[in-house]
Amino acid sequence: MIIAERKDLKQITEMLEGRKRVLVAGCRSCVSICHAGGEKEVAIMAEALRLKAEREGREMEVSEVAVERQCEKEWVRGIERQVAAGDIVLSMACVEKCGGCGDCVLHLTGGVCPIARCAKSLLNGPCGGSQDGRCEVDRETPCGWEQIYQSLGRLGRLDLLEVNIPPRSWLPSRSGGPRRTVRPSVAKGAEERAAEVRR
Amino acid sequence: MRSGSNLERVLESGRFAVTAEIGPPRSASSEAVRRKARLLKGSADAFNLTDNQTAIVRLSSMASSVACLQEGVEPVMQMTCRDRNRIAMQADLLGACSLGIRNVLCISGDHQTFGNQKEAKNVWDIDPIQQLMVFRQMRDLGQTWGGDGLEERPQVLLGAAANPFADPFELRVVRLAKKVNAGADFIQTQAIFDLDRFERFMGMVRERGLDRRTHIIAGVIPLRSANAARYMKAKVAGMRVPDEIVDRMSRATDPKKEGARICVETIDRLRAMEGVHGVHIMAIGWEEIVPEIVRECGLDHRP
Amino acid sequence: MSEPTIAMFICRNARAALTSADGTEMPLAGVQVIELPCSGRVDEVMVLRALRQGAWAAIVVACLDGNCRNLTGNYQARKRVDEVRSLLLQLGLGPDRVKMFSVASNQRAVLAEAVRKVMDEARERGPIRILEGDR
Repeated sequence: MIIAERKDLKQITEMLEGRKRVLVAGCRSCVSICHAGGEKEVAIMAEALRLKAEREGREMEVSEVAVERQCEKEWVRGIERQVAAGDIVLSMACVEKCGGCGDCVLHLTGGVCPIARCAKSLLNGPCGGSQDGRCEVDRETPCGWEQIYQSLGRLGRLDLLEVNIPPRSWLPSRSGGPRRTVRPSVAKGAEERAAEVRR
Repeated sequence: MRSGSNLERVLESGRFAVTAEIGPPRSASSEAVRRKARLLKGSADAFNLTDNQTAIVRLSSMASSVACLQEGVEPVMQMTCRDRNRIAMQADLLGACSLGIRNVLCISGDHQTFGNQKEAKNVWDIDPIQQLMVFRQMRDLGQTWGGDGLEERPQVLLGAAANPFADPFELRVVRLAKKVNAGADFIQTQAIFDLDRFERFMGMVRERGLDRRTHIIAGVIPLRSANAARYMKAKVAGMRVPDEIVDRMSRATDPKKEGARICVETIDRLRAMEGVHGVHIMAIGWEEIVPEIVRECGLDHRP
Repeated sequence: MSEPTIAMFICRNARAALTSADGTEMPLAGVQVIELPCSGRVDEVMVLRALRQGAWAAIVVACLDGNCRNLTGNYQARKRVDEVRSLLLQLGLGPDRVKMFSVASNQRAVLAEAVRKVMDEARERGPIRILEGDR
């Protein structure tokens, strides 16, 4: 089970810069349970993006969709047409094999996760043990950074590999202690609990 | 001068540098390090002390470095990202500098599953590029990564590793550039047997002008036997040993002599390459051959 | 657009505050009233949509604390209003465009005063512009 939290909208709108047809894609599994990427959150996200675009006088068509599980090809196949119609998909789920690190970098790594797929969770490229596309740990395991390289090549974004990614925050992962409910507007507050006891 | 180290002086003077590797023992005594240091004194400008190489517990690289200092030879302390988080790394850098260590090599480290305690939890809080960024900030801005000021800045020459024989090949030079941008003053490469591929790599390095922004020290390993050559070719991740080398080693009547000869020939070719500023000799468990190789190459009489 | 329009999301039980004892309705020029079965029905999407469709401001009117017929609807409404305000801030819009008021059904004057204040503020600010929150 994955626990998720929405990125700051400022960062998200920067990631969508210049895109005209956005598909906001939610997932009805893990991220729905923790109120970060289910149908409801997709609706809120889509509405927020529309509001910003319209107020800026920009043309942006935002559509919404939610699938049972984004991590399984069979389910994602059902929204192939919507994906093809847009020029970017804003996924509110984990899509990839997910390490649950809490600070997703998939937009920088061609949709392949370096945290989950690199044996050393390196953020700045493959270590010296990557050979013939395989990981040094096990010759049967593909090198995550080789996959990132291939994916960014297909997307024409090899330039992203030239940028040094500074030390990241592990606070949203286990390093921050046990997880808490992430969307404050759905967590039960003290006054609610008290009201329920009173009656 | 960033560090005032001997290695920095040699590199800055434009002389061809020589470094060599000393593997610390599985022991609470530093005597083995001291013995090797005495043996190798004068054969190289500085000596790398490995940090739990292949994830096997050994005398720490910091203690081994101090033993070298006490024997009057200069250490390059290796520090992996496998075993320390950023807090421990910064503390160890300060500690190392306080003890007189002036060269630190930032590396990711072999995965713990290579060692004999595979069940260990790894760290990799930061990667070697981020490690360089953190250490450079401490040295140049006098601040920890968290932003606290340091009473005394660490005077240190920062090194990093490069492996021209790993894949994807085109990405190797990109990663080197990232390390240079992050603050690598010198680079030590993986052992070179495939000189043609290394030539191509250096071509790309020069194209980007990286050889003028950092000092590239080319790695070599003297082979002791044909089996060692075969093992490295087949089993060691990120190594390339051409068949020609394996053949030469298997045909040789005195494999040790042949191995040393191949190493000398390799160093001669590396010295002729534009942008190579030194050589790093990794004679794992065969340190006594180093003085001979250095002499054969005419690289003895170190400053 | 010279005169502001505001969206008012109001709980069915608090709505009586819009009418005086003699049955006269509060003058609500420029106020679009959206009655909800409980303030707890309000959500982020509704408020954002109202702002997108031209409202200069949005207010959520709920019952007084402890007086919700559904126990906790007004508390839930408050959390969602807080969330919308946070979203507006992240989008570079002014979070004060969204406010919440708690009234009893007989507090007509209190509500009238609150509406008048929001109207005045909206008039002063003008229609929503992007990046106003960054100033």
